Parts: sequence; structure tokens; C-alpha cells
Amino acid sequence: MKCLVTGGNVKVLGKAVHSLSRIGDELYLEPLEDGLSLRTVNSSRSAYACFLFAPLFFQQYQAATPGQDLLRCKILMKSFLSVFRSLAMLEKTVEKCCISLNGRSSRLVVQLHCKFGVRKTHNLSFQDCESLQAVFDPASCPHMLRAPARVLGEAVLPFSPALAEVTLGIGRGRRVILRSYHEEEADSTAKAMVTEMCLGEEDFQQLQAQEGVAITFCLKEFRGLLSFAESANLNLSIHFDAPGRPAIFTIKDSLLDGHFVLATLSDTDSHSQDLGSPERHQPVPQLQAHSTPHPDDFANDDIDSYMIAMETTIGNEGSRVLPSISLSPGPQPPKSPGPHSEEEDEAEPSTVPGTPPPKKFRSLFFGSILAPVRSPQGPSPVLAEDSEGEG
Amino acid sequence: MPLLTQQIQDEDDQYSLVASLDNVRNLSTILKAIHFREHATCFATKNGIKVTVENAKCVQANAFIQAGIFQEFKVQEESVTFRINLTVLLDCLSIFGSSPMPGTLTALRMCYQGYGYPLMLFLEEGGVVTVCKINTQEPEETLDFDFCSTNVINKIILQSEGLREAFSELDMTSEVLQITMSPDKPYFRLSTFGNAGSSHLDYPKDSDLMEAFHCNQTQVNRYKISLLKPSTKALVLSCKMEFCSRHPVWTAMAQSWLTATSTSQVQVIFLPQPPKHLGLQAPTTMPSLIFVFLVESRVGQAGLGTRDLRAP
Repeated sequence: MKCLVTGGNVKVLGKAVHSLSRIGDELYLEPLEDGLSLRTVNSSRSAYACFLFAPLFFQQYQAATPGQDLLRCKILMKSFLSVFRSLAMLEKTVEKCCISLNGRSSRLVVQLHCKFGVRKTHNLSFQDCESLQAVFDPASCPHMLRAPARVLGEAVLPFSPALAEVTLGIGRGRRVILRSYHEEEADSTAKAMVTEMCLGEEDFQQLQAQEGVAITFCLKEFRGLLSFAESANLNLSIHFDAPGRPAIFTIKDSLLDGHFVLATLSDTDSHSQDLGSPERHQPVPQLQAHSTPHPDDFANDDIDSYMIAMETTIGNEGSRVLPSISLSPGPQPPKSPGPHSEEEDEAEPSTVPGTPPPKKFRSLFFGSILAPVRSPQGPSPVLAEDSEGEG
Repeated sequence: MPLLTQQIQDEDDQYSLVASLDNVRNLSTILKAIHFREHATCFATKNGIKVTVENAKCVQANAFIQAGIFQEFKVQEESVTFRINLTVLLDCLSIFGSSPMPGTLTALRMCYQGYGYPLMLFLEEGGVVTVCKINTQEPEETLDFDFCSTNVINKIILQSEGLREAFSELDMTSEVLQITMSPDKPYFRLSTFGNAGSSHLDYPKDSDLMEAFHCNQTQVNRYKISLLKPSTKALVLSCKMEFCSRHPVWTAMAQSWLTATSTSQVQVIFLPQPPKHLGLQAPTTMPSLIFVFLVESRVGQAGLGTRDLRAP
């Protein structure tokens, strides 16, 4: 594999690596025929990020030397990031960046050609790996909104940098609301400051969602993509479904596209994320109707054994994508929150009598290779019926 | 500084060293560049002051402050030597604050009476005078190098702007910095071997950054990065950096490097790591690497051009 990046694209590549570094600790680098893909996943497998740079992004792009198989590798994010650490320096001094992966030497060579003839060569060690592929389909998500990244960037400005999660939802009057999410704590009334940001429908280029839908996801991970999209001046699309289903954030350009898939909090764990329902005790049954136990719902224990299996399996030449089960929530059409959309969205977080809700991000979007046909297993605290069989 | 000169004019004779400076920052910035150890040894001769900081007998940093920088500079004896706490000295020199207010200058008058006496500093800004007395100590023996030009093996002078980022981004997980100087490719290379892999920084000999390139033989030497990194503070201030590989020759006398120009320089001498197969051999027989940072001092005097660094 050999590719050459020149001019301003070097900084774009550097920024992409910075965004990816907010998600995971390992970078999966895979040269494909339709471009170079950089992927990462976080340690709890609840966030996945992928950037695909089209061949046109490079001055020269050769996915594989003729006669050789396509190589892919996994390197420590820290090592790769150290090459692009200072973006200001990249912009000022680097003229060209050449990345080459040689099967013979076990090194990924990144060469930066700088001003004044100075040349920086980094020989990074890497590991062979399987293809990292998450299963997701933006088209299958019923809700979508698209806005310039700048609008969303301004919208998240008021939130404290330490804030972990944010709830995004559609409120009355088709307003998009971003609200800080805090776990229920004993002294939450004393400590928490809730911040809420409303955006009108006119700020969005496309808004395809019903009032009352809301999802809660990790803001820190989202900021990674947002900063990249803002600097590249791109539009950001958010595809989402019911709470608990992963939310897909995409940016697209003629030269690159990026996908960030973040897990969202499922409804059974949280009531305060429901932005359209102010009735305190009613939400319990209604929200459960929304929650969809998935055929592929893994209890956390299964994740590790599944992941180990994924990494030790020898992939065949042809199939780069792991065989997976479709996760489309066929049986559960999105329910309209008809009965409780009259009230304003300034709901108090509803108090749950009894035990505090456990918060779990579940990784729901990796296909299984252990048993392509599995009997559906719901998580133990299933509060709604199983869907009928495998999807 | 009329306020102070009247007071002490008659008493000047009792001091072995008297130096006055209109802008103390000219002195403090240079001393900060070598401030990687707490103590320093000062040598003053009629040509100026040399301040030496040493670390583990592997690194020696010298700051040469020419007499021409001072408004008044008198040394009564042949040479004046003392050891002083550099941290305390720098704290005193910046007693009026390290960021200067526009338009105000802090003036300095430094007096040293001789062996056993403290160093007196009179600092004045805006009519406020501070008097500092810093105890001096027995001067330590420092390694003295004789810089005969015939001992030079390789010498490269680069503009500092091309090196500052390189040094700030050095991979600190690497134990050593390997410096290659060669008449053939790669000409001049800085390499690190860290956890991520190896990194090489190449400067070609025809680069615009290269001011002088004299390489006679290929030399590859390794230096401990932990000793090297703090000493490159001077890079921030300097306009040029010289990498010089010489064979040191021991002498008993301290050579005077100072000439009557107004450019100050900071010189850092590194002794390389002996190769492992030789065991713990004393590094004195191996060629040492000398970094020389040329620091411009903001005095406003003419003549801050390049100078021959191999001045006698």
C-alpha cells in the first residue's frame, strides 16, 4: 500500500486522526479499492468511528502492489497520532505526507516532507488484524436530521466540556432540543445544572423525525466528529432510532466520508431523557413500548468472548465484512407519542419509585460470527415482550 | 542609574567584580536557557562572564555573556570564580516580575567583593530599589575543554527555526537521541527509538536552513535524551545552532571564549553514551558533541551579525 497526501489534505488527515483518537486506542488502517479507511472502536465497544478517504483525496493512491493481497494493519492510536500531533506545525511546514505499508518489513512508514528539504520518517510497528466492521445502516433509521456542522458546534458550546452525555430530541413545534444528561444521583438536585439548547427547524437542512423522540449519547465522542466536520465545513447528518439503538453520525464530501456510530442509552434505564412526556408516572409503560429488545442483544459477558472470537478467526480472502445479522427493528414500528405531546418539553425528570435505574450502554451493532443463527436472548430485565424470532 | 552610582562610586575599588546593566532581561533570558540544574559556577574575566551548569559529568552548559553587553563592567582580579544557586539568582533577577511592562526596564548592578562574600544585586525599576544578597559557594571543578580548531571532526550550523519544533516533538519514550553527521546521505539525521517505532529527522546539506556544513567523516553517536531535552531550552532564544563534534583535550586552564562583540552564546557540551560493548568506559576519549546556541541579546548595539565561532 502506498499513498501520497499533499498540501492542505495533510492537515485534514491529521484532524481526522485527532477525531479518531477521541474514540479508541487502536487504529485499524485498511487500504481498500475505494479508498483508505481508518477505523477505530472504543474499549467498551460502544462507539465506532470510520473515515474513508477516496483515492481522489491522495495525489497518488495504490491500495496494493499488483500481485499482492490487500494488507491491513492495526496500530496504536498514540503512535500514529504522534506523527500528526501538532496540527499547526503540519499546516506550516509539511508539504507532503507519504504513507506506505510494506508486507516485507513489518513497519508502517510515514514520511513527512517538510519545508527546507527536511524529511521526517516514522517507522511504526503494527499488528496484523481482522477487518473491523460494524454493522449499521443509516437508511434503516426512521429519524434523521441534517445541519451544517457549524450549527451543531454552536449548539454544544454551552455544555460544559466535562459533560459526558447529552440528550437530543424533538420537542413541540418541531424544535430540536439538546439537553445535558445526568445520571440520577442521591444529591442530584443539589449539584446538577441542567443545560438545554433549542434549535428551530429552520436551522436544519433536513429534519425527519417525530416530536417526542429522543436519544442520549456520549457527547465527548460526538465532539470528536463535530470538530472535524466544523473545520472541514461539512454538513453533519444524524440518523437515529429508538433509544437503545445506535445513533449514526455521518459526514460526506467528494473526497472523504466519515461515520461515527455511538450507542445510546436505552429507555428502560432513563426517564429523564424523554423530552416530550411530562406526565410523571405514566411514562413507565409507554416508554417500555418503545424499547425494543433486539435479537442480537448481548449481555455484557458475551461481548468479551465474542470479541476474542472475532480477532482470532482467520478471515478468508473474499469476505472482508463479518457475516452479521441484520439489526433492523422490523417488528417495532416507531410509536407516535400522541397522548403526551401536548405538554411542553420542560419536563422535570420523572422520579422512579424504587431502585435507581442502572445505566448501561449496550453494544448492539456488531454482528456475531459465533452462531449466525441464534435464538434470541433478551437481557434479563426484559420489560416488554420478545419480538418474534430472528430478524 | 544615577540613584545608585553616586552611592557606591567610591566603594567600587573594594569589589572584585562590578557589572551594570540597563535591562536585566538581557542577562536573565540567557541564564534561563541553561537553567536545568540548581547550581552554577560563574567565571568572570575582563572579557565577560561565563556561567557553567553541569549535569552528571555528561552535559555541560555554558552561557557566555560578553563584557560589551554591560554598561559598566569592571573585574579587578585576573579572574573571579564562585558557585551560586542559579534558581535563587534567577528569582532575584526577575523580582520585579518576569513579564516586562511596556516601557519599563529593570536595571541591575551586580557587585562581588571576593572570596567568601555574597553576591550583591541592586535592581531598580521605576524608582523602587531592591537589594539582594546571595551567598556564594566554593566553586566546583568543572570539566574544561580546549577548543582547538584542529580537533573538529564535523561541524554543522543550522538555523534554529527549523529545529525548535523538532526538539519539542522528540519522542521521549526513546532512551537515546542518535545524531548522525555524514558527508554522504543522510547528511544530518536525528533519530529516536521509542515505543511506537523509530523516527528519523533528516536535514539535507543543501537545505535553506543549513548555514554551514563541514563533515569529514561519518559519525553516529547516541546521547541520553533525558539529559539532552532540558538543555535545549536555549533553542527557543537562539537564532542559530551549531552541532560540533570534537575530540576534547584536557587542559588545566579555563580557556576564554569571549571576544568583544555583543552577541552572547550558550554552549552545551554533551558526552556521548559509550557503546555497550566497551562497558563503562570513561567517555572522555570519545568525541563529544557540542551544541552552541547563538543568542541575540536585545541591546540595540550594532554588530549582531554572524561571527566566527572558533574565535580564539
